[in-house]
Amino acid sequence: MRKFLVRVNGEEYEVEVAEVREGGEDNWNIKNIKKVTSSLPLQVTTTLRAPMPGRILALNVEKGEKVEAGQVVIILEAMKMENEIAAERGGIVKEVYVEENDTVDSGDPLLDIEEER
Amino acid sequence: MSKRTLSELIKELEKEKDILLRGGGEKALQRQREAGKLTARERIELLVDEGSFEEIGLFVEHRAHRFGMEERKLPADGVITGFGTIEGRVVFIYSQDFTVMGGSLGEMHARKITKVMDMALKVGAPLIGINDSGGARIQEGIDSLSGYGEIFFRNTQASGVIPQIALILGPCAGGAVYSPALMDFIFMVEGESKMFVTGPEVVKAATGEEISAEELGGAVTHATKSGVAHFVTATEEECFLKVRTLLSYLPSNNVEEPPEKDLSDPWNRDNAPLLDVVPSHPNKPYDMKEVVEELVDRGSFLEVQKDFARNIIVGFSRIGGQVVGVVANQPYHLAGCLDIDAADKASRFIRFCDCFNIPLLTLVDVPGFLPGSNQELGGIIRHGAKMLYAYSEATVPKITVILRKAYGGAYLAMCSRDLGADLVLAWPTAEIAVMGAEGAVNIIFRREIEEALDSEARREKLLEQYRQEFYNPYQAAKRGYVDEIIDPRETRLKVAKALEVFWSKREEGKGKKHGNFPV
Repeated sequence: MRKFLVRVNGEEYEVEVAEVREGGEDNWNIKNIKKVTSSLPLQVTTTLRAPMPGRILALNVEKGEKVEAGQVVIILEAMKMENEIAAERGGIVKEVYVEENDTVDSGDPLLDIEEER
Repeated sequence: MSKRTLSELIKELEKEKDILLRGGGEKALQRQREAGKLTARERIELLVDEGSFEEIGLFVEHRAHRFGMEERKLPADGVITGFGTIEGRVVFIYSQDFTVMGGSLGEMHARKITKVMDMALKVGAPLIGINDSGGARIQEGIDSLSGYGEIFFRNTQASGVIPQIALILGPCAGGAVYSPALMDFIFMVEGESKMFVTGPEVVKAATGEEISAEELGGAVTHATKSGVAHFVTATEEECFLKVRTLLSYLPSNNVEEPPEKDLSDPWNRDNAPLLDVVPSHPNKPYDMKEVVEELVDRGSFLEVQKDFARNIIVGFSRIGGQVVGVVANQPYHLAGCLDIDAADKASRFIRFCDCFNIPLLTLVDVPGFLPGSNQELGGIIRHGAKMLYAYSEATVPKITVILRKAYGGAYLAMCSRDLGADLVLAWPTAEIAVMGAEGAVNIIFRREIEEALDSEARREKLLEQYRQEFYNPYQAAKRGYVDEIIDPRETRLKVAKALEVFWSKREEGKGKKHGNFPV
C-alpha cells in the first residue's frame, strides 16, 4: 500500500493505492480516498472590505497585479474624507469587486488578494 | 515550651522557608520554564526595584479537608504576595504561582490577595496583580467562589483611589477575568496570555462553534477586537518594563499629583513640522499620531489600547514635564469618526485621567459619528453618551485644540466649551459647524435650489457661500465657543501655558452619591 497526494481542482486528497496482481496483469485498486484539510494551505486569499459606507474615488490596482502589504489600493470617499484603503498583506489581486464611482456599504468586498506561501 | 536555642529556631525557620520558597517543586518549576514562562517569584523580582520585594503570608495554608485536600501541602497557597518599590515608589503585588495546584484560587489564596489589596488602599499605593491561574479551586467549593467575590468588591472600592494594574501571564478564565476587568489596565503577552469567560471547550459544547484559545482570548484578539487588553508585549520582560513606564505617569493615589519629569524639551518649542503633517484640504487624511508626537515632550507619548478602535487615539504624555492625557481623532482610520468602540475607549481613558488628576488635552478633527445600521443597532446612542458624560463630569484641566473638522454632535463630544473645556484653541483650518456643507445646503436651501433655473449652479454657489460663512473658526470665536485662533506652530507653547494656568483648578463634588453613568 502506497500513499499519494492528489490535487483536484485545487483541493488535495490523500489517496492510498494498493498494488494487486491478478491473472498476471497489473491492476490498480484505488481505495480509501479522503480529503486532506491541510493546516497550511498553499495560498491564502483575503478579502479586503469597505470599513464604512462611501464612494470609490480611485481604484489604484487591477486584477492580476502584485501588491505589497500596506500599499494603498483604493481611495474610499466617506465621511468627507478620502480614506486610503491599504492591502493588509502582500500578494496578487485575484478579484476586483468594485469600479470607480461605485457606492459601497460597510463590509462590502472590495478586492481579493491571494498571498503565496 | 521549646528547649531549643534561638539559633536553632532560626535555622528551623530558614529550613521551613526554604521548602516553601520552592513553590510547586523543581519539576513543576521546570514545566513552567519549558512553557516559556517565568516563575511567580522571578516575575516579581524583574518587575520591582532590585531587592525591594518583601513577601508576606508565605506560611499561609489552605484549610480544605475534603477530596484529599487534607493531605496536600500547597506552599504559600499558590500566590506570592507582598510589597516593593518601582522607581522608589511603593507598590503592592500579588503573583499567582501556577506550579502550585495550577495557581488555583481557594479561600486562603484569596484572603492573601485581599490582604495586600487592603494594605494598598490604606497606604495609597498602586496594586499590581499577576494572574496565572487555572481558576477556582474546585475542591474548596463556594469558599473559592466567595474569594473571587471579595476580590471584586475590593477592586471596586479601590477604583479611583489607587491605580490597579493586571498582568495576564498565563490563563485567566471564568469569573477570574472580572478582577482584571474591574482594574484600570490589563497587560497581555503574545502567545502566552489567555482570557475568556467561557473557554473553547465550553463554547464548543454549548454552541458547536470551534475556535482556538488564541482566537477566542489571546493577546492579539483582546488588543484588536474586544479592547480588553490595554497593552500587549512580545515577552514577559517587556511587559514588566512597560508596567514601570506606565507607572511613571501615574500618581500613587487620587490625592497625589502625577509625577513631573523634565525631559529637557523646551516648553515653547516651535511646531513648524506640523505644517507638513496636516493637509489644509479637509478631505485629505493624515496620521494624527505624528501630530501628538510633535506636540508633546520628545518620546513621551505612551499610547493606550493602540490597536483597538484606531479611529481614536488615547494615551499619556508630558508637556513641559507635566503629565497630560491625550485624546485625539485619527483621520487615518474610519475618517476619524466616533463610533461605539471609540466612544468606549475614550470615555474610560477620560475617567481614569479624571480620577487621578491628569489634565486632558483633546485634539479634534472629527467629521461626525459613524453612520450605519450596525452602529445604531449596536447602541451608538448609549455608547456615544459615555463621551459626553465623561468629559462633562471630568474636573481636571481640559484643554481642547480644534485642528480641522468639528461637526455636529461629534464636535460637542470632543470636549467642546459647552462640556466644560477650560480653554478651546482653534487652528485657522478649523471648521466648526453643525454639519458638512453639502448636507446643510441641501436642507436649508432645498426650495431655492429646486426652483432655480440651473439647480446645479445654484447649489454650487450656495455651497461656496456656506463654506465661506461657516467653514472656519471665526463664527465660533465670535461667539466665544473658541477662545483663541492660533498659528499651528504655536500649539505646544499655547497648550503648555494653558496647562500651567489651569493646573491649580479645583472643583468641588456635586454632593450626590454618584451620577448614573450611561454604561
